[in-house]
Amino acid sequence: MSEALLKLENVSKIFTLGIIGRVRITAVNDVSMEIRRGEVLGILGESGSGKSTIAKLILKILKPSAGKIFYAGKDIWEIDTREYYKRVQGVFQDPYASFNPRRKVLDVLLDTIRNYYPEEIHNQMERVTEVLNSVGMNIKDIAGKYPHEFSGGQLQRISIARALLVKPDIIIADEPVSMVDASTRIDILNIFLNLRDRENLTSIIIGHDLSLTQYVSDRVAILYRGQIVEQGPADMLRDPAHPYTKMLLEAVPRMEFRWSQFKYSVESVERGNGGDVGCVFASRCPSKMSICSYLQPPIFNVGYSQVKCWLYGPK
Amino acid sequence: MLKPDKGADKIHDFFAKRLSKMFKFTESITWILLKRNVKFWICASIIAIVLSLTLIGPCLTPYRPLDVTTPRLPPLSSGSPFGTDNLGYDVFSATVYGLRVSLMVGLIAAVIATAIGTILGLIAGYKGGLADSIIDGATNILIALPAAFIMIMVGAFYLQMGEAPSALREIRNMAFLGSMIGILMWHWTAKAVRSHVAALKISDYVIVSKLSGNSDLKIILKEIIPNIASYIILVFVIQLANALVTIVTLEFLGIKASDWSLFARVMQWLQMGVLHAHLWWVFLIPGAIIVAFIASLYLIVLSLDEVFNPRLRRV
Amino acid sequence: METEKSLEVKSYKVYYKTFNGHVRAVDGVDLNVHQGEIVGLIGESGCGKSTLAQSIILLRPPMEYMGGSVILNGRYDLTKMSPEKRKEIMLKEIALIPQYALDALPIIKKIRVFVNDLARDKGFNEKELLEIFKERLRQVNLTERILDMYPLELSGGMKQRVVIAVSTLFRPRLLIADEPASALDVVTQRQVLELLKQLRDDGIVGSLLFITHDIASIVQIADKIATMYAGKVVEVGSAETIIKEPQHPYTFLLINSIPLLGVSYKEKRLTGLGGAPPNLLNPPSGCRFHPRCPYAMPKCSEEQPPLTNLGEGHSVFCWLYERG
Repeated sequence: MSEALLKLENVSKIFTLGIIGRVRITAVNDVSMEIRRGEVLGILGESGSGKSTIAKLILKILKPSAGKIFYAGKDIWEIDTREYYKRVQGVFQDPYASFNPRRKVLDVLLDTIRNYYPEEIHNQMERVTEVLNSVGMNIKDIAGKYPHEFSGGQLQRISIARALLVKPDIIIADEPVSMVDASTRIDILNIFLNLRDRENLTSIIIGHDLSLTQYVSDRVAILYRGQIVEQGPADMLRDPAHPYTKMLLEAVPRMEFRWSQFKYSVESVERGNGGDVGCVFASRCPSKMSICSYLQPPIFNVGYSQVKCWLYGPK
Repeated sequence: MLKPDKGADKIHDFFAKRLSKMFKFTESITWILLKRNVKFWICASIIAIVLSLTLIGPCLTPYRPLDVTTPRLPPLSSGSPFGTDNLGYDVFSATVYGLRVSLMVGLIAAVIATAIGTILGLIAGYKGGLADSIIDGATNILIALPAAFIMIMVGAFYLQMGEAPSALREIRNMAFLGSMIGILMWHWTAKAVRSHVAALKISDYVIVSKLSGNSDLKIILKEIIPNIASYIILVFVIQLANALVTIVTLEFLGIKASDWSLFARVMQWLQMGVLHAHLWWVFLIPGAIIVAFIASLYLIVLSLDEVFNPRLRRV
Repeated sequence: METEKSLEVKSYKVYYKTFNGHVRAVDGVDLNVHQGEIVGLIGESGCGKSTLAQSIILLRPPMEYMGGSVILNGRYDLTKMSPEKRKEIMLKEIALIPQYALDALPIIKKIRVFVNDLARDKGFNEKELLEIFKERLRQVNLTERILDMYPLELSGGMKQRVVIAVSTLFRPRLLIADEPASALDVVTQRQVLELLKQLRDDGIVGSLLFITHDIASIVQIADKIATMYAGKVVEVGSAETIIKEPQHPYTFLLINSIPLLGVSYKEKRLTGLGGAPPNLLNPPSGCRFHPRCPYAMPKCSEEQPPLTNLGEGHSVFCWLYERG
């Protein structure tokens, strides 16, 4: 069994807006998960679920309000940030926003070598060529060009190349294909899978598309309103345990068949300011029991998954 | 085979790079839009005319500002294109020598205000925290200060006019006046630059730059400054216009860097009753010139903003 | 007897005027929508589908009309219509749910006020229209409380449903929906799609042209599907045919790049299309897809392929199927 490379332990992040009174938004609520070396973990969440916040917490852009994050057993806030970034890198959703419009793309790539591997400067072009090839791009197509001269898909590949040049152990990608054309999405996701097979690269891929997440992931974590409601091997998506995941599965349009009767309601309750009592999904859950409105469910083991739902508690 | 001389090579490269950048600019969207923008060319012409007046004007007139010639000459008289006042002082020479002084002081003020404002705005916006609070406090104090009052008091005390005129004293006075105005004006730039920088700091490519291992200084130099450069140019021009308005006002009140200061003399002429004598050109011509110049500065900023800011363009 | 066509687009061309020349966003498009039909138009970003929708409703600079005809309900030629006539038929004969419709509602007006203003604009009795609007709200599953709220107070899904309610007030013969559900969460997405289908089933909307890049959602409600690439329609057919047996290489590759639920990387490795959609300033010669087409023949780069009718309403523009 591979060791846990990255570990989140009861991590919470609360934002306070202190302009008029004190409004508290709990973006991430008591999240615990492990990422093992050599796996692709898919985090599935809709907008507002807290997924981008988790990415920023892992990348040390934000500090947790509670809980700790461990890399190879050490608290990441006790690791020198520069050393940390040598191990953990990121790719973001909007390829055009990830590049400085006034800098040539190749210069941005060379930054990484200059900063992290100055001893390799003499053959930096070879390194860049090699990494670009691994993401399906050619250095000749890149030289001298600015970000706006590329398509979204190409730029996203270059983004991944930039992260790879650091030779990290983990790459966390926040919605890497949402802003990319449908025809290139699979190619870009395949890059993460190829790298896992060839170099044992660990990836965390955050997204909102069930089919894509299930395609690319080894294990999945389902995020709803800042909480992980279900975690387990990707196969579990075919027959999920948690009612929210079941709802997602039924709502997703499938090409193989047309929808049957849908029994769920739209999110009509306004988001609470953190401190909601009871299960976070209770108001929309068709299987709601009375305990669900009072008490937050703990995590239960169901087969190979962990599920946060009273349905799986002791009878 | 002959090896090319390394020194000549370097010089050649230097110029080739600069020239090719210039040619590239002429093909760029900015230039094409600029070419068609009528506002820009009208304003640029006015600015160019006034600047040439100040630069070569003194060579065109045989008179010095305090020389006396035939009194009450109307404009377009030979030798006195702008006419003379009721005592025989030539308006043209007064204008071209006087504007020189005013513009010089304005330039000093604008440079100081922009330089201080930009540096402090960068620090406040990028570092945030304590530095931001301190700089914010300083700008608030400056905003609260009665700038006009201070300038008049300090100016009146410092700019001793009783002594015999000398080049050194004039330069000292111009430097002082320019610095004083600049020091009371930088807060405007600082606030504007600070908000721009704070917004850029959280943009994706700045975060990516940090992930690539770039130090704060590198990020400011490579990511932030190039993206606020055009904004700073506009800010500089506005500061120049603001400074000129202040300088003209001060000159009217007798706070002048030199006895040749144009609007101090215009004030003197008005007090001597040129209006009663129907010598309208004596105040109208200098007035029209300075108003046109300042207005052109403001309007050129508007037209440049249209060109720089894609959202304002009317294609 | 053929059903009346609510929309007949023939050889329609709309280019964008830019500094560097003309961007050929819609370059000779043929498309038909019959009464009672839901037609799904699939394409990726930059293929011209939004331009098609917007230009049909209102053609403004920088869009430039370059040729062809757009006949609405067999009667109106939208390419030759005067602005007054256009305003008159808007919302009655044809309505549009634009992309980013969430921002289409004026934020400073309460919904009720907005509807009243609309009534006055169209020469309708305010009370009557409000009653019809309330009926619509019921159909889109919103309460009457909405009437006294400002758009700011509504969630994305609710705003979208209000926009649908407004655009169907006058029972348009043709409703064009441009990515009506992309900015919504997956559950609301499903509700919006089912709603649109229901409106057609109930006759409130005569026919629907549904534009999106999400194939799976189109399959759920469309009768017919048309694929668009680089400013041209490349294949048209019934929804089942297109999904099960796509004939045009682009459609084929696109459909096969979509992961089916339950199929992971380990079981079936998918490939997308290589390359990127072409720059419409200077599109490729001949068939626009040939640079990325694995089945390209020399002819493909020379001449544009003609229409080949494969029977049963299935037609394709590809040299692979040339008859004769």
